[in-house]
Amino acid sequence: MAILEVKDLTKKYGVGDGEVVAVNQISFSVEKGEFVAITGASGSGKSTLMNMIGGIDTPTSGEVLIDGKCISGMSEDELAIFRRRNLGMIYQFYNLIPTLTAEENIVLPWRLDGRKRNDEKVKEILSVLGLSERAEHLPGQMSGGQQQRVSIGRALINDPAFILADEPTGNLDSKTSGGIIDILKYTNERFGQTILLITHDEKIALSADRIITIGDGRIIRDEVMNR
Amino acid sequence: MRLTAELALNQIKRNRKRTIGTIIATALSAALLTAVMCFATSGYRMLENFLGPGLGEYSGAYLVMLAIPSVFLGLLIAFMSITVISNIYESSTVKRIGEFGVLKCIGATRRQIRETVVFESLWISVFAIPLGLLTGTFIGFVGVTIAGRYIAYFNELSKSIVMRPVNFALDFHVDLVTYVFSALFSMIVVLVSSAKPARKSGKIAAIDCIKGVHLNLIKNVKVKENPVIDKVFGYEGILGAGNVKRNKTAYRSTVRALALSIMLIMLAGSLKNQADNAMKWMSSIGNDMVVDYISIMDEVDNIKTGKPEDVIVKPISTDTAREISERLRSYQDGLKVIGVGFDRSTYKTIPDEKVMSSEFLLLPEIIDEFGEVSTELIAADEKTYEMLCERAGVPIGSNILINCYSYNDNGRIKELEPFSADTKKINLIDSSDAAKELSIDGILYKDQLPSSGFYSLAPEPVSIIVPSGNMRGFSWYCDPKDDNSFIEYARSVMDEYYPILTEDSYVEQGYSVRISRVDQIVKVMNIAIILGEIILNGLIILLMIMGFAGVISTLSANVRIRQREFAVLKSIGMTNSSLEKMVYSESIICSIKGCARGIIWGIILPYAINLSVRKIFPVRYELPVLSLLLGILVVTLLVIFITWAEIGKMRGRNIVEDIRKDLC
Repeated sequence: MAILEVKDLTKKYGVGDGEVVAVNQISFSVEKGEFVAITGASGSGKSTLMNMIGGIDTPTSGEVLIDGKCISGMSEDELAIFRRRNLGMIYQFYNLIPTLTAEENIVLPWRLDGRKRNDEKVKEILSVLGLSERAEHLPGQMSGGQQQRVSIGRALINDPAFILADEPTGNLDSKTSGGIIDILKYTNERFGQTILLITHDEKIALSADRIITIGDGRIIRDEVMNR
Repeated sequence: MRLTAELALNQIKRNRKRTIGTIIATALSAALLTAVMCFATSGYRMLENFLGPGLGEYSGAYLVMLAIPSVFLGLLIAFMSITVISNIYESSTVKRIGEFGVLKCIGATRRQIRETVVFESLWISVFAIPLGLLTGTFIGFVGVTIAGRYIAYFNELSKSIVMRPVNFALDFHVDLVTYVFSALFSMIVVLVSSAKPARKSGKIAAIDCIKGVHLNLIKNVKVKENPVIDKVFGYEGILGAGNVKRNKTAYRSTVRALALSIMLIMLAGSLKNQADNAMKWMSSIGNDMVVDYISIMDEVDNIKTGKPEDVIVKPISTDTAREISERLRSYQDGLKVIGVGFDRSTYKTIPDEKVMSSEFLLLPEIIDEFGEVSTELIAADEKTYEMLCERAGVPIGSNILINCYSYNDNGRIKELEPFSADTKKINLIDSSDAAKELSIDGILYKDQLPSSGFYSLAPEPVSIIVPSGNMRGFSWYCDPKDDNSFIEYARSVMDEYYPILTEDSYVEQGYSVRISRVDQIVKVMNIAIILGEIILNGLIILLMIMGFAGVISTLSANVRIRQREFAVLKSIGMTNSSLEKMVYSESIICSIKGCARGIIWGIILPYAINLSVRKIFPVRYELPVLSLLLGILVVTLLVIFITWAEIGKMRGRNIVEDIRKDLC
């Protein structure tokens, strides 16, 4: 069963001669448990696509269905609630809340949803991410890699339908990048977590089970990797 | 032009809204300083006109009298200004952090980064300080004109009472020194305000600038979940409380500005209460018509003993006073006139534990440095004296002791009976140490005394009614039907005995005559208090405007510079209403903190002022409940309104753009 369906998704900026088509009638679907990399050159439309899938940007046309639900018609608040229950977002610049500790940042979507605290799960995530020692640290007291691991924890906490990771290694050195990709792969294998990884780095993309390549706002290649 | 100055100018041109805000705050600061300087200059000129060039013998004391409130207000204005203006520059540097990063990357030194922030403040000063000087001159002109009118009214009232021209004139006056001093002081305020953000900007590493790292230090302190906040605001409130606690630096200016605002509201309320109570106390001496004669005194040292001696220059005898009483009574059939004279200069009483209570003798300042007690001899007109003898149950010609002493006990009026009921004699002593035993034939208590003439705001510890003698002053109390006609009649009577020559001063003539209702005399005394209250309230209102400007600028800046953080929260599933709840909770927590601090200072400051006030007036500190409630209400409404306005601007913002902000 497809956990994500993208149908004829289009995003245009500007009007008339200045019109730019960032995403041009893209359609694809992702099955539960898949690890998909979306790759392409800078300005190919990857991040715009991710923002529309994540419901933080609205498409000009087309629709996005997550777990069979179309998110295009949802109001801003409905989308926010949908995001915190069904999606995990990972950004290039971590985007952690500077005044919250690692643990507090991780449980944030949970708390926003009014759910009861599950200490065991928090401990497990911290342990899997190698952050047990850093649980009480503020983002400003951690390295880039550690901060990115916190943002992965935040994305994982609500058992989302899938994780959207936008250039999660873009701000890290190669060694730390490898560690982050390993964690994503591990969560994919261990918890069956669906992952949509956006990257311009072909080596990183090779870690995925499937690679969708985008160019000029269109899918130019969609290949499943043989392991 | 230097590159750093050029960059600062570009910044000013690009951010017009913030530039206007900074210009207003700086101009307001300069205006307040100029207004205070206008008051000081005009006040100095008034004293100079009255006392002569250089302010005469007591120039030092008068200059201190002008300098102390000016310095106090100047410092208060400076503190308030630095809080507000510094915050504006800080928010400006937060916005420019990326620019500083780029500058550092291409080789700008720390000094150059600091310079560009300082230049920003200097550019602002070029426009704001002249504007402030002009506005301050206008505020000063309005304030001095209002104060001048009160002083003119004081002159008129005094003239009608003492029948002699009184020439105090407060005219608006400024000179070059006023402007030079105000401009220099304002410039210092601006430079100090920009110094801290400039230092911070210089210190931050280039990579941190580019990454958009927070300028403020976020402390990793343990945040306990407050059940009350949880109940009222939910988890969003807990988040807000955590933000306020961990990022104290960001909220410090807001809390400080809120605290100052509420403190000023409470200070104004409390000072008004104290002034009202002082005036109420002064008005408690009734509202009879009073015809009042008083001789001047020469203060000399006794040749024999070296003790200070007050020589009454033109005493009034009881015979003359009694004649005047009869003449005044004849103005209107059945007019009741009570004539009471006093002599506080001739004698003092030697303390005697056998007849004086220990409670009385232990009161502070009852026994002077020579071991004597201040004493007042009282004489009354014939009819009044007869009435007093009758009430005391003693024959005419008796000495009657008034066994009642009221005093200001640290802000409270207390009364006690200093003597035992069987007191038969009192030992008096004069400045030459000549002792005299005065027999006491009868005693009168407070409730036996007439309401007019025997109530003084500053009574002497020992008061004895004597049958006759030479008095320093004499007052006749009555309640005629037609005030103006009586005043005219009484003036003609007094002119026969003690003519007033308007060209002579009180000193030259040796005496003064006042004819007026008591409330008019009290009004003259109160004018200084009312005037002080008006000027102080005016300045407090202007300072409050500054405080409010501080609250507005800091709260708005706090919301505006966190757009990216809000976008992140939204992207991970925070709804708009949750976000609003969090921002509101932060603002309310800041209000509570500001209120708590402001209330503490709003109590401490007027209480400290009252410690001095209560030594002069029987006025205790009272918590200004209305001002307190008003302050809380005003501050809370202001905070809610600003937050609401900023939240309104947040709605409909593009999450993607906000998340990307400052990262390019």
